[in-house]
Amino acid sequence: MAFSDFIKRLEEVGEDLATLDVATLSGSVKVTVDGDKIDFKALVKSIQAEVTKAQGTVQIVAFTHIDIDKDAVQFVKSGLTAEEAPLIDAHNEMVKTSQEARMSVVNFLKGLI
Amino acid sequence: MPLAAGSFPESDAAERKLKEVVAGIERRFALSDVREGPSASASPAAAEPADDLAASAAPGGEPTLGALSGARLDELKQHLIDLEYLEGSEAEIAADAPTPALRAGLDRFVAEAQSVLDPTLLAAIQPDQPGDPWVDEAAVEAGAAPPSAVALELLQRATSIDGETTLSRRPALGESGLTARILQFQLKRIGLYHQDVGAPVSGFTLNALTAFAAAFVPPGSDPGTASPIEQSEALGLIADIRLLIARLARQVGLTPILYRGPEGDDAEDFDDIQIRDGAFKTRGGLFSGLFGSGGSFDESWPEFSAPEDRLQSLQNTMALRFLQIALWALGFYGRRLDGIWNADCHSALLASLETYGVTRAEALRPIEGGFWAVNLSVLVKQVFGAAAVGDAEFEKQLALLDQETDETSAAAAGARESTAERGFFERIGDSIRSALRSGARVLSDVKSLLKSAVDGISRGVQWLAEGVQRLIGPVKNFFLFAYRSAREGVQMLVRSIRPFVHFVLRKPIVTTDEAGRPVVMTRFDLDRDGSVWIAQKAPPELVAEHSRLCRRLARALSTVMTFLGEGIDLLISALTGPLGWTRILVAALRKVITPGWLSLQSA
Repeated sequence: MAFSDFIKRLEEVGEDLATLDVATLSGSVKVTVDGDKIDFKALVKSIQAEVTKAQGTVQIVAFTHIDIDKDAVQFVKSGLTAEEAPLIDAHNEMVKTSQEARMSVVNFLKGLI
Repeated sequence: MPLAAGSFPESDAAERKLKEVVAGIERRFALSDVREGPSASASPAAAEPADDLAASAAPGGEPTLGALSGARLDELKQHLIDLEYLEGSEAEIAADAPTPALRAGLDRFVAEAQSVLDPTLLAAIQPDQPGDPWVDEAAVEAGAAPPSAVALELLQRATSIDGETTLSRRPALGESGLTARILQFQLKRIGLYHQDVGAPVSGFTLNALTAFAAAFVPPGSDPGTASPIEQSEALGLIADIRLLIARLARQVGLTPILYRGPEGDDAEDFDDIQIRDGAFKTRGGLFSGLFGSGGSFDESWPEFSAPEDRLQSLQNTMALRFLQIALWALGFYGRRLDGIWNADCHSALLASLETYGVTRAEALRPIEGGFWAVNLSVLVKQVFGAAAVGDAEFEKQLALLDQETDETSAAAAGARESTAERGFFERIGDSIRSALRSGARVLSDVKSLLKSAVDGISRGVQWLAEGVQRLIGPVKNFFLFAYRSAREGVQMLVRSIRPFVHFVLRKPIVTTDEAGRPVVMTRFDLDRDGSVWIAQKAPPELVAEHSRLCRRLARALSTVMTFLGEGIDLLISALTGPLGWTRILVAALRKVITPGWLSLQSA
């Protein structure tokens, strides 16, 4: 990996640390069961695959992007059914959880500095 | 009333003593020369002494004190017994008869004598008989009860002026018998006791006796440094006027006594002797004493800086009283023997000097302010002494009196020794009791001190216990709180480690339904970006439960990260030396003291 690639990668990491992204998906995926254990890696890949398909069975219900300067963008799927409404609440809860987790890391790094 | 010369058939000692007393009186005062009855000497005024004394002059033609008639001696007795005698009634003075007061006094003496004398002595006394010489025949004829021999002897002892009066002991407090009466009477006569004669002995009597004793010092002692005579000796002196005058004259030496006399008296006869340093001195003696063989004489030299104070002194007061009595006894003075100097006393003194051929300047000198200074020693020696028995005899008598005084003192000392022997074990007992009392007082003090100390310690311990009780609750709560906090912290850390590891390893968080099928799955990447997948038709409760699970995991991550941060900070501080250690200490104190203080305050 060239130095320019390393620098680009650092920039991406820095940008990623500077933002918080939470995506909530909903849909049906195939679950691979190995004996009595669920293969979560396969599940994650299935979800990612279905999301990227044009006619996939998994769709984005909500998406939240928060910059370090607290600028935020939230996407919510149009035409939510009554059954899908609780998914927005779950999404918002997950945003808060992500913020707490991110804050704990930031505090840790601040303490070290 | 003649003096008694009685007998005590079954009491040889008493009889011998009585005879000695009577013989002494007869010898010294020539009672054999009695020439008049009481009524004949009814006027002892100063205007008459020449005739009286001339008629009873000694064989040498020189008037003597012994020329006192028996009637005058009786009158003196009456003076001494009855302070109200000659109070101013010329009729009473002229009457000069045994007064009801004297009679009553004799009766009291009889009654009191019987109450104080030894019963065996009383039993030995025979009743008076009409033929006895001491019985007042006139009184017997008049039907009056004659005084007993005992009463007469006691009267003699109480009123004699020849040194025979003795008081063998000091009356006790509260005593009101004969001894007390005699003592009070004599003290009152010399102006030291002002209460009623016959009253129970109180502090007045004893204080007067002490004051009397304080006026004298033992013979040959330095008046300035010697202790007063013993009270027992004072008791022997107290009624002995002649001895008192002699002793007082010896004691005062050349120091004059003072009285306030009439002013304006002719002072031309008083130039030969001057007063220097309070003493009479001849001009030549003074001159030579000051300037040797030459020099001048200054009559303005100070004589007495405070004559009024000197006049009021006990010594001066007593001397004047004795001088007044002596002048009365010599027949130059006929008024009350109250010790208050008056113009008659002055005239009597001048008359006595003239009568006995004593130069005025040797015995008297007027000083400023109406005061007169009296050379008492000259009076004693040249007037009273010569008047009595002559110079040589007077010295002999003085020696005898001193010897008697010494004997009295020796007897008193012997009595004290005897008393001391008898009271040896009593004194030991007293000493032991005193020591025990002292020990008891010390023990009581020690007990009191110990009790105070124990009480103080007890109060201190109680205070400490209460303080500890008040403190122990909050302290206990504080440490309990700290322990619980630490335990919870450790438990939280332990609980948080697994979710932390879950986060660190970026494992997905999955919630399944009852069939075990995944319903909700969340995955956080390294920087905590989250991706959530929710199955179609996922039960809302499972979705909510999944959200809470994620929150707990996030908090666990925060906890572990905090612990890690603190741990790393602590490690770094520990490795940075004293500054870091100080930071650790301050942080620890802050974490301990602040919650502890809040805990105490809340308690």
